[in-house]
Amino acid sequence: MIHPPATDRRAERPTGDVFRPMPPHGRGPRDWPYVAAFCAALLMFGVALPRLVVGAAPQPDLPTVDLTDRSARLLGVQAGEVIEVGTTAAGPWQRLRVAHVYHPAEYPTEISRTRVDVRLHLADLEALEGGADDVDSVVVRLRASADPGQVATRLDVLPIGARAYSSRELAAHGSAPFEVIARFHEAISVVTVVTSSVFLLAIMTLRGEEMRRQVGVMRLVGISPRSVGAAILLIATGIAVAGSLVGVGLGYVLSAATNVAYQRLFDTTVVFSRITLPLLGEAVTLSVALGIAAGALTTWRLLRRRALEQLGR
Amino acid sequence: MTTLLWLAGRTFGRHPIRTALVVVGLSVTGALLLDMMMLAGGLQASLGQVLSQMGFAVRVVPKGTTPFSGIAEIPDGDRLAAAIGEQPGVAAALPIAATNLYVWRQAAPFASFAFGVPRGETGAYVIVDGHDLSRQGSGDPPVVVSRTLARFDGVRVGDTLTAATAAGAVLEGTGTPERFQVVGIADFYLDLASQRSMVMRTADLRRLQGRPQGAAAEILVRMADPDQVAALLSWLGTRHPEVDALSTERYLSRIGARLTYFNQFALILSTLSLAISFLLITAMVTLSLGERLGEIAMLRALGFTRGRIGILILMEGLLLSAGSVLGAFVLGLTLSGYLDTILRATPGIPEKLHFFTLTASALGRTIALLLVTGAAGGLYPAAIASRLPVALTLHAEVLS
Repeated sequence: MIHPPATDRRAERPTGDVFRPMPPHGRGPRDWPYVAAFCAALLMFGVALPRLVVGAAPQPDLPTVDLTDRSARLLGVQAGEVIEVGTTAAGPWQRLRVAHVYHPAEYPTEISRTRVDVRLHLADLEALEGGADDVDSVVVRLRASADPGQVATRLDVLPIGARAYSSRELAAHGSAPFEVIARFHEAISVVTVVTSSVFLLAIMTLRGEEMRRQVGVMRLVGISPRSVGAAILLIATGIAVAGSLVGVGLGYVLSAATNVAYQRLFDTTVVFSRITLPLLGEAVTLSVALGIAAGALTTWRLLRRRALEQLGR
Repeated sequence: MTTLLWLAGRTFGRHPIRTALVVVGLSVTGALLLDMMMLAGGLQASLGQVLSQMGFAVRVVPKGTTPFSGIAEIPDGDRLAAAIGEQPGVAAALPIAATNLYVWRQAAPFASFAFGVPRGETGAYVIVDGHDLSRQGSGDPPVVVSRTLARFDGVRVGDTLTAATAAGAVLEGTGTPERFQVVGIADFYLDLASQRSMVMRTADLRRLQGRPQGAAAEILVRMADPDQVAALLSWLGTRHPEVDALSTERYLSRIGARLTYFNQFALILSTLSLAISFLLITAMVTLSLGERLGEIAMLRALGFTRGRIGILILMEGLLLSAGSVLGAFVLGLTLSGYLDTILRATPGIPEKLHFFTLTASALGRTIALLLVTGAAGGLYPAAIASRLPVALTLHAEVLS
């Protein structure tokens, strides 16, 4: 895919901004026929604001437009109806007939509650914007044997004021915000693990204090410190396992609630929260290990005192 | 009240390790709470601070857009700016043009975001080296470049740059390259971390673009009388429906509508941290109460009313919370710096903006919520303590 250079401010902005690349006035001396041979589609993404025309009379000669199913629902229109589209909210407006309503492949980067996706013929959009021969991206379909990276490199050196990306590079570029969010979530999860550990330690300390007399009596009647320690550790493990199971259940409930809430909010089938087996394993292992560690610390604190001391004598 | 405070203090003093553990736990949850309070609306608060530094109280943009968010322009921007300049309370109205340019110095061209301003010394950027556009250098038209551009490309005051709207020789016909002399290096308020920016006179920019003057991407309005902002917005709304006039508050609210993720995330994590704090305090105070039922019964026998016993226990919860405030503040600020660094790596975030912004409101809300949670955590044990049967409890204590 050929795009404006990544250093461009407007191309980087996450607000649906549009960059107007340089109009290609000439063709590359050597590579242009190669590009043209594989060029499957030209896409132009413009800021086009649609609005519904109520009670519009049928006009068969109107240019046509395709809408995504979500956009059609947002606008309250169906195929055959007429909408008006403008490049700014102040107009001027161009009347277009909705030819098709389709369900697109959904990408997390494109999910929005209010965004309306309108697909126009390139010539109609160019006319609407008052520009000529302007495109934002050129999508290139390669022959099966072609290497996308090599083609992108060759296209990159063309002096056309554009940057070529392979689909893989573009995906990596587009997923950068999600990688940042993932790192943020990881950092937050470390904080919550620390919080939980301190919480667990405090609770186990309190529990140990509560068991102090009981432990003292057990030791006085002849039960070895080892057996007492094992019993306390067993209790701690039981609590940790039970807590983990409750946590897993709670996690599933919250995950399902998150998906239901956001899928409704954004009117999408994209999955927002997914609990995977490795994630589950990691969470349960961590919480059980922390529980046992807290139990071990409590056991050590309890057993380092003498039995009579534990009874307050 | 002093007696109650003394008694509550002694309770914690009896088990210093246990108390310390709970206070540390509460400090960590409190830190998370403070961070989430800083995150909710933090980016808006940060943007608000930068905007107030710039000193433009109103921004006029094409209808339905935010500044520099698209290719739309105000067709009659220069004329509208002149009309705005004549409105009461307006000190200056500055039409800004903007586009992307390719710039050569020695080697390959690099892309730069270029602003066009009618004259120098507008206050839209801060000169850090050299001088502004108002003073001409040699024969080439003047340009002021951003610090990032100067640093990345080794550009210094006095250097000559070539700029064009196209990057390659094949496309030169679309915009003839022109030479500019760098007269200054400036700090642009809302540049991205790796963004190269430059500012030149609008006439030079339009000539480079091969377009007539008149349109503007944005009009920045500086007010001499801030009380006249509402009147100006109303005038623009009535007379110029093709534009949106954004006061700083309206601009921030328009940006805020796009940041719901962070607000929702902050809400969820704040609730979680409050729930953990509540459980920790309730568990601590309840278990601590279980160990000293006899003491409570004794106090009742000495004449403490049920109400005072209840207040004593509530105060214990409150003291635990209060004890964690300082730790929460220090930990929260440290943590927010780290989290902010992570989030600022998001593409498209201006260099001067921060996701976590400490405001008086965020701090006040955190302290209030921590104290309320402390008191709420003490409610259940307070109810148990105040209903304690005195004689039965003392009898059971003697038997044990």
